[in-house]
Amino acid sequence: MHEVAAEAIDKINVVTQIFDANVWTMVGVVLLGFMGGTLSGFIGSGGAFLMTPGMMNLGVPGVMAVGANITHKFGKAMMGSKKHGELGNVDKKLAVFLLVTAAVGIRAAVVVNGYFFEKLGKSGSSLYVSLFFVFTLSIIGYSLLKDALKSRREPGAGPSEKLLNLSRKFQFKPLIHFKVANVHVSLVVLLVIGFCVGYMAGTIGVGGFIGVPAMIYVFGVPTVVAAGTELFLAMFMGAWGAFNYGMQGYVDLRLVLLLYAGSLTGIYFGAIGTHLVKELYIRLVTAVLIILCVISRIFAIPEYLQELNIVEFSEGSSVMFEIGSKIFLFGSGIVATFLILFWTFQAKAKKRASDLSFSHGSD
Amino acid sequence: MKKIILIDSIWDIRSPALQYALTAAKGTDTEIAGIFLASDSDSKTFEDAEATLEAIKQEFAAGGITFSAYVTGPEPVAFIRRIDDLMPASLVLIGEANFTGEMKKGGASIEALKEKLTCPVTTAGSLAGAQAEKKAAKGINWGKFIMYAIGSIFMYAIFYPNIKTLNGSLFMQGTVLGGLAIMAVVIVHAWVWGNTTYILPKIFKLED
Repeated sequence: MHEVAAEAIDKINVVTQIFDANVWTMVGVVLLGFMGGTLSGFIGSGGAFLMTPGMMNLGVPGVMAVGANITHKFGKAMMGSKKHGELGNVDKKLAVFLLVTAAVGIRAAVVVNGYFFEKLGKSGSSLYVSLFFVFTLSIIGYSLLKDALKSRREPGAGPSEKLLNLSRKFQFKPLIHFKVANVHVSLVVLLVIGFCVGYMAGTIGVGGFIGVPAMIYVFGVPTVVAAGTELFLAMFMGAWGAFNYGMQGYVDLRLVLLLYAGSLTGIYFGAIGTHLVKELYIRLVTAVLIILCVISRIFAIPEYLQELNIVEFSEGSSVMFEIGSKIFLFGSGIVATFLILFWTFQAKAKKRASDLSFSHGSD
Repeated sequence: MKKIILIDSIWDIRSPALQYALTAAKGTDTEIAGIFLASDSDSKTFEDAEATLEAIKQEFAAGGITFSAYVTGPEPVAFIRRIDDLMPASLVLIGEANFTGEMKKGGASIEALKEKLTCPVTTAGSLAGAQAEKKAAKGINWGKFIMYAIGSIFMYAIFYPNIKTLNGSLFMQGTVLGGLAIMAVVIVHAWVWGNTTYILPKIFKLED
């Protein structure tokens, strides 16, 4: 009983200690939110791949960074899915099926994440989240980059059908028909994918990066419906994740509110950018940024290993790893956000000039 | 002189794509180059298409607009070569163009044109959508904005500094009530702050 109380105090004080040590950390969290929000609006999903490791770089334990991020995701998806729902891009039946299994995945992730925090402390939790992050996002980043480069070589090339054809070989009965998406999917495949989406969302706060590609490449769902359904799903997954992490005392609302301060400002600029900037640029930015975030996490891992007394480095090496990790993460985030805003404002200025010249003399 | 390349499978003077091109070209020293995308390469189809385009040409000439017209079959290479010959253009406008699977594979599709060409590529459908959106755009509702802004000031200036205390008594106690309270705060805050920042793109003139 005494141990539980002591641990609860530690959880409550950790963010206060970080903010007291350096007031600029708060600005850092707002900046992370702005970068994550702009990216999220621009690429349709994500932002967490930047915000979760970013908070960890600022000293927030992995489990609390994920907790803050998934809670933040809940409110953000709530605002975003409203618009997609109005446009009829949501397959609610598919979302319900995925949601049930994703909820199990999230619950499992919270338990595993909490286990590492309780047993190995802040460094153990951060190491586990980082390793999971590097493993999954390097695969996703590589696949996205490969697809984007293919589109560059062969303009108009659609998504690869390799996985769709492979999943057709696993069409175990019963098959379920989804009307809005107009696809038949095996219940078994649906359960496996749903669990994976939930587990990823619960572990690193990133669900859309497996949910959307899975729906497109494995189920054969049209891209617009996949994005709309994912956002609808993200709202409930975020709510479930927020409740679970909150129920265990891992959510510090100060982090969530600071993330919102930036993200709900950036998200609208990013979303407008999607109408103005070429799709190839959107895909390239996403892929390159994910890969740079993975590199940043790789730089952060040795520090956690040292804190757990698994390896030993000189102080100079530790500082180098820490700076390298921060440069890759914040540098890539700042450059990507700047590019998105620059392209958006530039495209809007061009469009305005072209509208003006064409409207001159029109009826 | 500016140029609009208009691609369509159904040519009719009343079609929205043609009307958009006509409106844009009137009085702006702009010529229109039309590509009739025929469904097959049969000579009879080509003759019919050319006759249709000739009638359109006369209508345009009456309005003082230079119009050149070309017919291509569903062969991607011929289609892309035709586009390349007509470039540079200020705008490529696509009407009811039925690109076949074979054409798409060969790089003749709306997406491929958007990626390949340096000038803006748009469809009559998206222009109609943009017009409808513009009509529906309500501008800035300052009353609502002030209401949400007051809510946001409350959240950041009054609620935020008290979170530290509330964490110890409610939010971070690891209870069901704590979890529910966090969710309630998030719903209210996302709504209030999200509606406050919603105005920003309009202020920066990114939205009408």
